[in-house]
Amino acid sequence: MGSFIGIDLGTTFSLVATIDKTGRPIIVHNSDGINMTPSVVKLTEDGIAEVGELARGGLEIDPDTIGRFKRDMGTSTIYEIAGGNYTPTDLSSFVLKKLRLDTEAAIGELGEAVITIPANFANDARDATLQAAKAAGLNVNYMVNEPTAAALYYAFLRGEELNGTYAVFDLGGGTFDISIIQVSGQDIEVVTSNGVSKLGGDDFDKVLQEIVQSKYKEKTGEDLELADYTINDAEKDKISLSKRKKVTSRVLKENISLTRDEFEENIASYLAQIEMLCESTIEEANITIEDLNEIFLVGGSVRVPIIKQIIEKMFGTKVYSSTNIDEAIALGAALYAAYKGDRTSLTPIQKSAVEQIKVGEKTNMYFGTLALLDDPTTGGSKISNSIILDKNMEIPCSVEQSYYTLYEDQTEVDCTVTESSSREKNPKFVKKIWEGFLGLPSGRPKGQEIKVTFSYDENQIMHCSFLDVGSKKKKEIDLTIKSAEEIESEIDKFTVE
Amino acid sequence: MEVLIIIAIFFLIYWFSDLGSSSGSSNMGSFRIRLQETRLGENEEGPFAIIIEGRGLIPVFSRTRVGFSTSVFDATDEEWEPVFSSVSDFQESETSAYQCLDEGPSVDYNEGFIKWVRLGVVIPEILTPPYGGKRNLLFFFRIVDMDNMPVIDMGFHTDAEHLGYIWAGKKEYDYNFEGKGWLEEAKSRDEVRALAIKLAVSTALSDGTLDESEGYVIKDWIRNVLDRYSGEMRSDLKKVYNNSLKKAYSQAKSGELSLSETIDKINEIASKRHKYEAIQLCLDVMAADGEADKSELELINNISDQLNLDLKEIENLRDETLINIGTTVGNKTGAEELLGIDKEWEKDKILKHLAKEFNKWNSRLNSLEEGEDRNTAQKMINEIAKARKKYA
Repeated sequence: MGSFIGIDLGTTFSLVATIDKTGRPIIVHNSDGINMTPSVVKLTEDGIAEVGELARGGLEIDPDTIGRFKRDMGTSTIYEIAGGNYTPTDLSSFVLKKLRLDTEAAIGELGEAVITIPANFANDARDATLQAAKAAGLNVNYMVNEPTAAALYYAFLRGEELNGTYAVFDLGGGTFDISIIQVSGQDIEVVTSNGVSKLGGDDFDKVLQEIVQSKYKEKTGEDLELADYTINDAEKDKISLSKRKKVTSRVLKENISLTRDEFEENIASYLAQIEMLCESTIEEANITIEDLNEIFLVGGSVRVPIIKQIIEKMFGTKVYSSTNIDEAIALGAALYAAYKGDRTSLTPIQKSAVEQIKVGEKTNMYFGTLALLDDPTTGGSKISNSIILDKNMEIPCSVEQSYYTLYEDQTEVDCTVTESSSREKNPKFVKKIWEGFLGLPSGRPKGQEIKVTFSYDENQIMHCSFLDVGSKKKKEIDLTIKSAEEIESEIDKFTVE
Repeated sequence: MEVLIIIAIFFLIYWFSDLGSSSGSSNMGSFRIRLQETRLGENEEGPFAIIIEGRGLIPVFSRTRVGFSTSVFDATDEEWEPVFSSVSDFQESETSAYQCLDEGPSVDYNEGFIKWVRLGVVIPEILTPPYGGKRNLLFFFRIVDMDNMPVIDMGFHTDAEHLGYIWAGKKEYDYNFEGKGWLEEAKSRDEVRALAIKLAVSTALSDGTLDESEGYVIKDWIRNVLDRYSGEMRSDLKKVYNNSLKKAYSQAKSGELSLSETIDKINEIASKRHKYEAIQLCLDVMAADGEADKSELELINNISDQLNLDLKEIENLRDETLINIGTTVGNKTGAEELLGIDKEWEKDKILKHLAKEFNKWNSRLNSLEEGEDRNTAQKMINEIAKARKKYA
């Protein structure tokens, strides 16, 4: 049996960690001998993918090179690259395959792997990540939210020292997550998590790129091509601005000066979003800042000085930051893999290291169905989102709710599964993650009971069933195995009752 | 496609164990009913309800599958008026008049209930009588033949021969209703709509001009309302609404249109439903030119506030209108108008409101597909972030 591994599949960089002989999580170097592998793919016309540092150099210069596709996971986005069409899942699978091959070369046969995902990843995005992992030849049975993995690592690092309520502030390359957790030694209970899907270091780089483009135009009257000041150039200047108040960038034949103040002024909108998400998450957890014992920092973007200032202003002096803020998620994921996996393969020392761990996760979204509900604005009723599973329910969980048919001789009911990260009533503002119907026997009066059961498993995947109590006809949906169910529902429409 | 319906109120009929024959229980007597007050729910924490209990012999001559139907009338005045239900499961199949209909047991000759059993329920919270205030209700209870189901229309028997009726009885009950009744509402409805037109004209003119698109929104709204009527009634109402439109326009132009008087009158006579209808018209007028103008939004927020409506529902109506407009939010329109922030609020309250709104729109951003709606959600987030910067 191979080694447990944890994978932080990041927007800009990815990392792999495993458990060493003593049961401590360690980062596995890639084939270049470094810890972080850029999540960048360069494709050839034959469909051959080059992943990592070499590909990264071609970002915004080479049209066959692409990065930041994690942000589109679970969407219908198609990238046309080198004459081929690729989904975000395809591209993620190339990155994961590179990570698998490099890790196998470094530590030998691999066992169960855990992949981390942002806290606000929708069901589709989770599913897409799982598919990418399978396509990459990884044995993934579990996924874990990034802030949870980081919290697990910090709890492990600090031994029995932690006890109380903590926040994980995770600002990576592509997403910002904040989680409130209860920790007692290595027993971790997630209270609540929220995230902004397009807010990270990458966005700060783009802002800097726009400043340079605008200054260049001001100076020369000409538009600056992306290739002449790429996102990589912007990232380097951002890092320099973290150390100095002013830098000068050489762009073509021009010197463009950039100040930290103007950079901070231009990312103010993102900073406001970070503050508001922190405040609303603390309120959602029903605590105050004073209740927090410490704030754990995660993700490379927390190094930006203004971010540090914001954190200090909001949370005071309770900030805890280890030296490996870039690695905490992968390291926590490796621990999670050992905690969730078959521990018979672990040595006694490894076993004793992980046996103290306990992780309690919560549902990260509201799940519901569409039903006709009373509408106070019209005095009638209208199709609304009826929430069945609440956010922040301890998982695994299962909730059953009864609905009733509307008409006499009603021969089918719509079965819709919705998802939202706030308590939405308006169907327009929820994501329909599954739509189908349940055929009913004819000739019955209205008011037939339809029992709807939503369950959420440990892997944070939804299972739903719609049962016609009278006839015992049932529609079961496992949202991880889409194809078979969807094909069935499509053909169902044409079958004769 | 049909849809599912949620039932929020659960009610159980408890007849099953108390059915017996006259020989087994000589004191069963003829069938009669009584009323019992209770609260629904397992632990009686649900809504207040009046239970109809029955006892005695059921007058059938052969085995019959019986059902129990309860209708409600308002008998305060000389004529009985139907009472409506706001929950479809407690409505007649063809009307929204109150009816609690449940299937009972199969009963044979000389059989009945040996004890008092629950056979029907009336939930006052979901009733709309013709008038508000203290009303004398009449609970009309029928035992019916489920295999020869009689038609009950607005609570009344519709066939003279009374086929399918096995037994009927009534009980009176007094209840004090808050708010307006359906007949009252109908009487004031036309006047409220004429006043709503005034609000709509004020909204349109809040930026100084009545654009053609705004005028057409009001015209289409009047036309849609009139389509529900015919004959003399239609032509009378047409005159009323057109006059209201013309008068509001000339008064607004000359600065004589008193918004507070209009709102006071609406508050005096309108039901909540018609107040929301007026706000929706104002929002539609605002959206007519595809732009959420600062002055229009500010005015609508003010009107909503003064009409004492549920802010959450107003927020839902406003959000839906904004998302339908698309990304064209007026340049001078800030988060205050878009999010219903009162500039008089304390700074802390504004910041809390902004954080709550941010959470809501951030969640929507995750749910919406790429396209106009998503761009609008992103624009809302940007406006919220700007406001945060301003107030923090």
